[in-house]
Amino acid sequence: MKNLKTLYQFELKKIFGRKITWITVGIMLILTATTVCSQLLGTYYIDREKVDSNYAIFQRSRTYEKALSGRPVDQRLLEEMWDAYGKIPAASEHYAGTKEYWTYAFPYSAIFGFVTNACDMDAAEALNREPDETELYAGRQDMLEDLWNSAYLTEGEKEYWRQQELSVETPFVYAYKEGWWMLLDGLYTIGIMTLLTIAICLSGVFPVERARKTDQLIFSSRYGKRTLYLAKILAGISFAAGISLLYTAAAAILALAVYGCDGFGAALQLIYPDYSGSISVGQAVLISYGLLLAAAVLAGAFVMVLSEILKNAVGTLAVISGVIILSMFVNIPVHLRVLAQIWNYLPSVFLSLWNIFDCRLVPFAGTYLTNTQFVPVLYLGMVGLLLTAGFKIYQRY
Amino acid sequence: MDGGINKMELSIDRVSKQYRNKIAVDRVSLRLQTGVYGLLGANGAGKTTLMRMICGILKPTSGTIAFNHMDVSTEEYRAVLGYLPQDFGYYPEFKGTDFLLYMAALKGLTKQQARQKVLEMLELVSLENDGKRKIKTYSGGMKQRLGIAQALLNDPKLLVLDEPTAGLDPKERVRFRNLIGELGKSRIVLLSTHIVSDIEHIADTVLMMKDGQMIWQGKWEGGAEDLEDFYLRQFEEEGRGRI
Repeated sequence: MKNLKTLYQFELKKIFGRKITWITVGIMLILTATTVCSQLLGTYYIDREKVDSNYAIFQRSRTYEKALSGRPVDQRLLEEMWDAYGKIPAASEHYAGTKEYWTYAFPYSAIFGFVTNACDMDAAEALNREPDETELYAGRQDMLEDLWNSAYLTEGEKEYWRQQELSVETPFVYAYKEGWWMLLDGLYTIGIMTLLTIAICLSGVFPVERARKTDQLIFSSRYGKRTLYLAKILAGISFAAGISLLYTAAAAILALAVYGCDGFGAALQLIYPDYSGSISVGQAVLISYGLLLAAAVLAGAFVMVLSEILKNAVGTLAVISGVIILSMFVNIPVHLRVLAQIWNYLPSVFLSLWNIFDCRLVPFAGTYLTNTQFVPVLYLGMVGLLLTAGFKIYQRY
Repeated sequence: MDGGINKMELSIDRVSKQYRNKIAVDRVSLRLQTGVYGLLGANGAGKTTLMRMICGILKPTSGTIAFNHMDVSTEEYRAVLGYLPQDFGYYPEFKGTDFLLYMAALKGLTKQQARQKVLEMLELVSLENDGKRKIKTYSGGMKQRLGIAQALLNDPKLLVLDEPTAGLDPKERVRFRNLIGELGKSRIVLLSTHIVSDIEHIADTVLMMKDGQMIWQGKWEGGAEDLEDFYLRQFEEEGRGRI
């Protein structure tokens, strides 16, 4: 299309020419940094007594976790952990408040955390169990079966995951992976910040022409009705994608610089035992942030088309903010399986480790699609539908 | 496109625009050929609505508009159109040159053509030394001149000017009045204004609207009667002499 590139560049110039864009992106970058580094800020208290700064505790934890890296979570390691935790006086009200915990048990706290998560136990229950590698991994299988039942999976879905589980190698090899974990942990917050930035900066792309009374010049010009629509959409979508990549890059650079790049290949189950399938923590980060990119593109298209329907930037921003806030509080009961699953595909809900790697599947052509396979197709399909509808509305201006 | 001066024709056939309970333009039919057409009418007479329909911004409720058989809804039609709205906006973050380059891209000019034409237009409207300044620093008159420049960028065959001299100082007003007269020699210029003397000086044909209808059209020969008096008389004689 003639002049599309030039018009696209001008539309980008309009987006970046607004002060609100720079202010929003600046604030969100600060919040991204805070999200990634939140674990290091402040002081650690137990029973209102200062233990140490969070940064000092992180440094100690990192040293211990690195010492455990490369070791399989097997009978030997479980026994070491058991011995260490056994030194905590049984009578103590809070085991983490004892000197013995910090001296002997703390170096194994990462393994202890994995055990409690993998078998869905609380700390007291874990402390009363004998160390047993077979029991640990069997306990994880039981936990998975319980999880699948509570998620109302069909027998076919359960069988799918049982087959996936066969590819999971046990015992898991422990690895220090804090940098990657911080990225997964911060995904939800970074996702919300991305969606808000897109809503704030793109809600005016179409309505601003009417507000500034430039619409008359545009619609009476040769390429104002077709090429310009495409140029605006491309500029908005590039901006949305760029914002998600910018926040991803900022979070990744900071997280990996502060916490280190170690543990890319560690099994995802070390931090998320609920998942069945052979995937590493690093791969999970790449998939998750790839989905953030897809969600950003969808959000960009949705914001622009909604603003074209409402012909109002503030109204659009109010609707998007309302949806984001609503999605933070509304939780569809899990027994309403289809509704709950659809609700979880909402970008403001979906962008979290537990939803991306959810066990609920989508049946397709005699097989099943996981969320990581289905959602990108769903989002891109919706982008296509939205843009087509938006074009029709724009033509009827 | 047929660029022959004599073959140029804007055909407006029984065009109406109806809003919920108001008819803004009521069955207007016109055939405009090369020359300057001055459109007169009180506020709310339907001048701007008619002009917006001629520019493809508003869709008529009924009737057709075509330039040399090109329908108003086509890109080809808009390619030969230049429009200066009565109250148009701009991008405050853009410099004058950026704004014109943007409008040139919208009008289909290549980058090279655009750069050359923008310089020409800035000079034409005496903004050659202000092109690098942001539009938000421009005075009202400068913005109006920038608006005139954008309307002329694509060398339009059909030029629609809604209150083109509003905001201009008297000297600039006379200059632009003469420019419009020159432009009318080789294209169709339809201009609307409240300043009757502007039309008296440059319009070959006078069009008068009232309540959405065209109440008078014809060559203004001048003679003993002043156009302003004639214009006021037409509005007093409601219903008489409607075409």
